[in-house]
Amino acid sequence: MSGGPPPEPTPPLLRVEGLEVVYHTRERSLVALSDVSFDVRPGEIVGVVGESGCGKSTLSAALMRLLPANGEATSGSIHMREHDVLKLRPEALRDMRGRDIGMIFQDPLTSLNPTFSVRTQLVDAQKAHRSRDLGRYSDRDLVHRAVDVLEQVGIPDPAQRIDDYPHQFSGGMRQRIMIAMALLLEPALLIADEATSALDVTLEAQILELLKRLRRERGTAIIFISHDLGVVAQVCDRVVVMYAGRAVEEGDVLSLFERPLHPYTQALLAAIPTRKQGGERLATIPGRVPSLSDLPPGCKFVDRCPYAQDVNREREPRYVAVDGRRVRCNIYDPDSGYVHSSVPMAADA
Amino acid sequence: MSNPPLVALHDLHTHFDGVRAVDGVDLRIAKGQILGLVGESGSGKTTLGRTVVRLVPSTSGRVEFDGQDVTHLRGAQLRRLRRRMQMIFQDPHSSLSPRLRVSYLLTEPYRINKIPREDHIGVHELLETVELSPELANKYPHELSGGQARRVSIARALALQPEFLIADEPTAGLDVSAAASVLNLMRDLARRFGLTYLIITHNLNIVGYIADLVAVMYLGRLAEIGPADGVFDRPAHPYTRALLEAVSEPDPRNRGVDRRLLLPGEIPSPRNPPPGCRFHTRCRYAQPLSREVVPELEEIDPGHFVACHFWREVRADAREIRETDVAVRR
Repeated sequence: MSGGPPPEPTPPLLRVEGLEVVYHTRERSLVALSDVSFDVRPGEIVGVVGESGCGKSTLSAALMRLLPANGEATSGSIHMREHDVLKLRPEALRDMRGRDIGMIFQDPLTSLNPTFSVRTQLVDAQKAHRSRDLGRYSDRDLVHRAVDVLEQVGIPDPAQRIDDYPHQFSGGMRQRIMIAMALLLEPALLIADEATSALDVTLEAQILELLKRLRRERGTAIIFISHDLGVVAQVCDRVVVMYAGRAVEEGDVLSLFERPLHPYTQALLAAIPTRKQGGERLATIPGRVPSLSDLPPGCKFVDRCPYAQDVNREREPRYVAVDGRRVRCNIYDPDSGYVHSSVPMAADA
Repeated sequence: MSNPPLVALHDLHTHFDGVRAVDGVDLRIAKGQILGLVGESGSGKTTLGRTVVRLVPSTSGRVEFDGQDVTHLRGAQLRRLRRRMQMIFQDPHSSLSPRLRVSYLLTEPYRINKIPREDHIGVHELLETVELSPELANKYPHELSGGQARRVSIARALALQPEFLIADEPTAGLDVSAAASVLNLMRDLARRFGLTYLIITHNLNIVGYIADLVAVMYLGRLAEIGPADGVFDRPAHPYTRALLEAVSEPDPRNRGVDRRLLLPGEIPSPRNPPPGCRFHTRCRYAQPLSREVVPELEEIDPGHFVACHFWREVRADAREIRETDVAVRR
């Protein structure tokens, strides 16, 4: 059995509070994230799910302060341990990236340089972070460390293969090398942004096991960003569901999948094809994700929601606590004025 | 499988540049059936689909369509065949020319195949068939969402009123809801027009949802093929079992009891496939026999075939594990 989250009182490793991110374009400013709040505790795997355009990638970029030039965190805060991430000066920020928070992507070639051998890249990555106290190691030691980490992530013959270049490895192996590179600096938090989405199921299962082992053996916390609810169900302890730049629901993985509260979460889960559903039509969500330039004033899901009333059109829902979970939906907010008819919510999954 | 098959492949081989992408495949799809073809990247499943519709030439073996040997058709005969079998390509944005409007793309198959006007289906009707608004006729592909583009490629394939469709990863890259509606559409169309499908995908959830038959491909050969229920509930090839165990189901209650058969390593290069059973380099059941003798497909249940020397052991283990799981969960 996996470790599971530690008991409640542990202070969070990462705390995101009321984060708002705006993209400035020539004509106007678009709010890409609004009032996003969640915690990640040490050793916890938190899933962030949602469809394209929901703000998942903006969130991961904001956490690393890697937003594009026209992106700006306009309010809220991100605390990583004692650091106030949004206020870090360039030098401290460089130290935080990689050392405190590592990142892995869908395409390993975004982090691996094709013109250098794996050895050079893994050694340089360590040298760049003297603050991690790696400066006192000799080059030989740094290579040893690199070989060790490559072995841990399952690269066969790492001592030989470390002199190869990225293109000499298969896709799955490159994914592992990228993970190895992130692990070298022993970050307390790893952000995996669609890190297994391009892989075959068998490789994906291997990488997921690797991530779970990291958490178990090193206590690495992971933010697992994915559109794949199946994978999220298998690896995450807690899940944040995003829609139109908002966190719309958060809860532990078991209750969120068993009893989704937000109509959007319910609809997402009902749309997944599985063998059990053979023969039935899959549920689909009518309409599409609203464009950031044209968001409805109240609930952003209102035009696609089977339970919408007039109040949902006008009133932006608050993030309210329900049964130890949080949901951004007027239906669950006693102060919203939403009128409950006899059976308000159709779906238990 | 009592109906005569609409599509039958006999010992089909497709080799190119030294790659044995398809290397001896036999299968039959009855009219109206949906066959799901699964396997990892590099298994040869896309090449198999392309060989069937004659987009790549086979090296040897035979493709039969509706009882006719179509392996070597040319010219007008090939064009007539193409009206009856169509392929929906994996990435609609690369298979739909960006300079052409939807209306042109939808009528292009008629021009290519020199179809007389009276046999054309109108653009609006085609769009309605795939549940798209007629207003999209004047759009360019880049103005469409992923789900809309996918529907346009389905409509384009339907323009010639084919009987058989090959869909390569029909939902790849789509969001959950868009993927669900494409799958719904494909099922509706199958019923409405009596279509037969070959669906190529690496996603076993989709196959489990939609397919009547499942074929599992590994390095150019079939490892297992049979009715979906049989293959999912009683898989007999270690590779099929490993694939099924690797599927991430959207149910967190299943954690912890799975992943026992986590498949080690990666699929070897089809340029140089292992001798004997191609799966032996990753197989925990492999014995010296596996390294020497290529296992042939063997019928182990009605219509359920497996190519493994040790399928009895595989099934016995599967039964034991299922029983332990039940005990553990209690």
